[in-house]
Amino acid sequence: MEMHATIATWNKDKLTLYETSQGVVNHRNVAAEVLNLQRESVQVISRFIGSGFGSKLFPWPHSWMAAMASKKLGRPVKVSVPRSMMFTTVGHRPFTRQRIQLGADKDGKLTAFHHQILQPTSMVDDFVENCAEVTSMLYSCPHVRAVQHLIHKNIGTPTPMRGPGRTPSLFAIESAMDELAVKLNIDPIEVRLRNYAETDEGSKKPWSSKHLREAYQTGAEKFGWSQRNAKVGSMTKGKEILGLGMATCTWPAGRHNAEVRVSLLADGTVRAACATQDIGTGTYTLFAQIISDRTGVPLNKIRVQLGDTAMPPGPTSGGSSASATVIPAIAKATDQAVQSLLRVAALTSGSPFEKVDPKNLKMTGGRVHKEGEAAESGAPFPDILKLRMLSGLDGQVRTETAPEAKQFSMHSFGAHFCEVAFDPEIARLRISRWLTVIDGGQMINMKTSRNQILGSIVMGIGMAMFEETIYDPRNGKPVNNNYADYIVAVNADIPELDCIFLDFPDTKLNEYGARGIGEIGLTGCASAVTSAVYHATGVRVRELPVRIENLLKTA
Amino acid sequence: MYEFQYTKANDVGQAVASVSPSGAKFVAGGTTLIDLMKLDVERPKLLVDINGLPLDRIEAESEGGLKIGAMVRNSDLAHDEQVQRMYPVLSQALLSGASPQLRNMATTGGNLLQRTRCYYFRDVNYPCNKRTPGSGCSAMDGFNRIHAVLGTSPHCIATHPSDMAVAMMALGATIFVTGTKGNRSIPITKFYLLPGTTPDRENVLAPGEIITHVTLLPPAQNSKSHYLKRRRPRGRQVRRSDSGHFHGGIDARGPKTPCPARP
Repeated sequence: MEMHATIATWNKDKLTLYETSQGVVNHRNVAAEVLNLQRESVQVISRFIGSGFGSKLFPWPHSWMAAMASKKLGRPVKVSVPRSMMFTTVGHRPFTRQRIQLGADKDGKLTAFHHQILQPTSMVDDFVENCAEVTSMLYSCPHVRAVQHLIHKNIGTPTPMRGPGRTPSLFAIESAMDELAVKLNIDPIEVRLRNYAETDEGSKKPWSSKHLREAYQTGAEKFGWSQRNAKVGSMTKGKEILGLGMATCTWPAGRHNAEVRVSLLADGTVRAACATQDIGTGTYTLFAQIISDRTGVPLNKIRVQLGDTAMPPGPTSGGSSASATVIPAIAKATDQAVQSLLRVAALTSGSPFEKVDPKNLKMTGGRVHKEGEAAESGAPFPDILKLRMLSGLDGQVRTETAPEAKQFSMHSFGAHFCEVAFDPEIARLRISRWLTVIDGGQMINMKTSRNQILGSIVMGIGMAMFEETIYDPRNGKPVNNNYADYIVAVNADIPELDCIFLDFPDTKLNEYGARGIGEIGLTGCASAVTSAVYHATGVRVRELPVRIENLLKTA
Repeated sequence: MYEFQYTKANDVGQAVASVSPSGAKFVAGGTTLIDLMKLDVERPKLLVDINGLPLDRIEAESEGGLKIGAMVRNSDLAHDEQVQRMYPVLSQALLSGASPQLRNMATTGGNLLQRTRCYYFRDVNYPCNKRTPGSGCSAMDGFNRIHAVLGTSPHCIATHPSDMAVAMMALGATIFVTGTKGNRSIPITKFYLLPGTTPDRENVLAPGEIITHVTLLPPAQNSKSHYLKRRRPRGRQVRRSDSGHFHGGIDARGPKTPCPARP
């Protein structure tokens, strides 16, 4: 979406790169390696990112070109990658070919699951989009084999793209489960419940929190699944045939290292700084919400600064892990700053809390007050800072992976429900209804969360119905390398979408029980669409996107 | 980017005179030409800007039809009350193409002269008989799922991309042009050329000729029309009928063909 671009500028031997990056810290570290500089001599700034989707996880050569040209010319240099080159010079999701063999008894209980994956990578890299990772954990099955093969081709190096691995993998797995349900004449939800994984059979660990069953049930109820007549082409609305499909979605709940600084300032504001990024997911807002939650300082008095390597090192915005990663660090840094403030309140002469044990002090509503007394009885926090002639007090904390991560398998789950309307006279297929139910832990911000899921569904509909990079078979060059010919879903393709969040905080991941949800929504979408297409038309589409020629024979 | 000259014409005579040097081209909305210049597919030496020509009116004809100026923007034409009432197929066709921003710029004359979306025409790294006569057709053995199936030749299988022209074909429009040799009118059915051995020639316009306006005959009594676009996956067609039934009506087809066609 947003294209890649770099502005490089040198101040003596110090390099500043204005980037569009999902990971400024990694970008800085790689820049230092490539350009043979000390890390301290490179600053990478990426305050706002128009989109990342994985293509901006890692630096690309244009960044170094800008740096070298700027050095040579002695002035700032901007290098931007035009749309057509976005198809060749930066990352993309590789093509995947998968083969699935299922063994099941007549009741639909899986006995064997064989998953083979073939994927290309470039001649110069070994990048693998791991599609085998999910195979052993999604369903209960005694015999699972998943093998992934890689071939080197003369194409650009692929990278992770939104929901890497599980997005292509779940198209195959969930399509296979739907075919199993059809073959055995069992409801698609029922066949999944009969193979419900009560523990992660792949890692042999218990789940930290899994409520997929509730996601199926809630979704089925809200979507009217019980009205579904399993017979192909049996449901009509006017001259259109309706098809109802569903699929599971899932994404791992990750949490990594992060360092955050939170400063209580004498002007009554709070400032937070972290070298992580907001890639359009609402990370700025998330920081302010957590700080406000712990201090009572209103959101409009909290200033969050992200995307700059001059700040404490934060996580890459990838793998739906940034939120879960930074939340503990924000909370602890805020608490540390507040504790310092409370000590100052107790130890400063002239303070209304002089000689009170700091343990008996609290900060609520932006005020310092005694435990057990109303916040209004206390003093606004800037007053305490001023008594001590302080411009501010910092808390700076580094947090690491969840301690429970070794004992538990942590994943989000959910279910998509899709209705398609098919006009057989002209073989026109439209998505007519959509519902997604997500078991993704605690949502910190309902608006940004919903935005992530709905955006994923739009992308998922694009994957199912339109998106495809076409390579000229003679030379490997993408021929549809522009927005007129590479078709993405537009508003006219999208019906009203709905999503429901189940409220099951995963407190084994972090105190707030919050998981990242940037990617889960895309997994499973395409197979919900093709299952609905099968239900409407009897045509099983195993190769995306769904094309009109797949459907013409039914018209 | 390369250098080119630019001049502005204020009347049709001046426009025709200005465009006479070789390598000169008219530019109206620019939605095709400027795109192709950015891609190096078109490299005019001189652009004659005709946006100031007084050809931007839609007028009722005394016999009941419409006269549409070549400079009428696609948005204005699509939303014109008379067009919507008399020729719904034309309004629907216009609104089914491009985006509001493009339709605000694109003109009636320019739309008739849109160039193909063939990938290989638009990429100067490939041979293309339409772009460089005699160089070969890359689509023939390339990725050609979106290309024409009817009316093609071994030299070109590109399609014409205009929705508007398909509707005009169904409505039997007449195209009026002016050139150094005077004025003439061309029925739309005689306007476009099949690729044959000269796919670079897409229509019968002579060098320097400019479209001034298009006329539409009054709609037949009780006629109804509708534009149905089957977008991606490809294929579209339009039908006009006299009785409200498709049977016996007029059917015009779009990009399965090198030019808008009536089977």
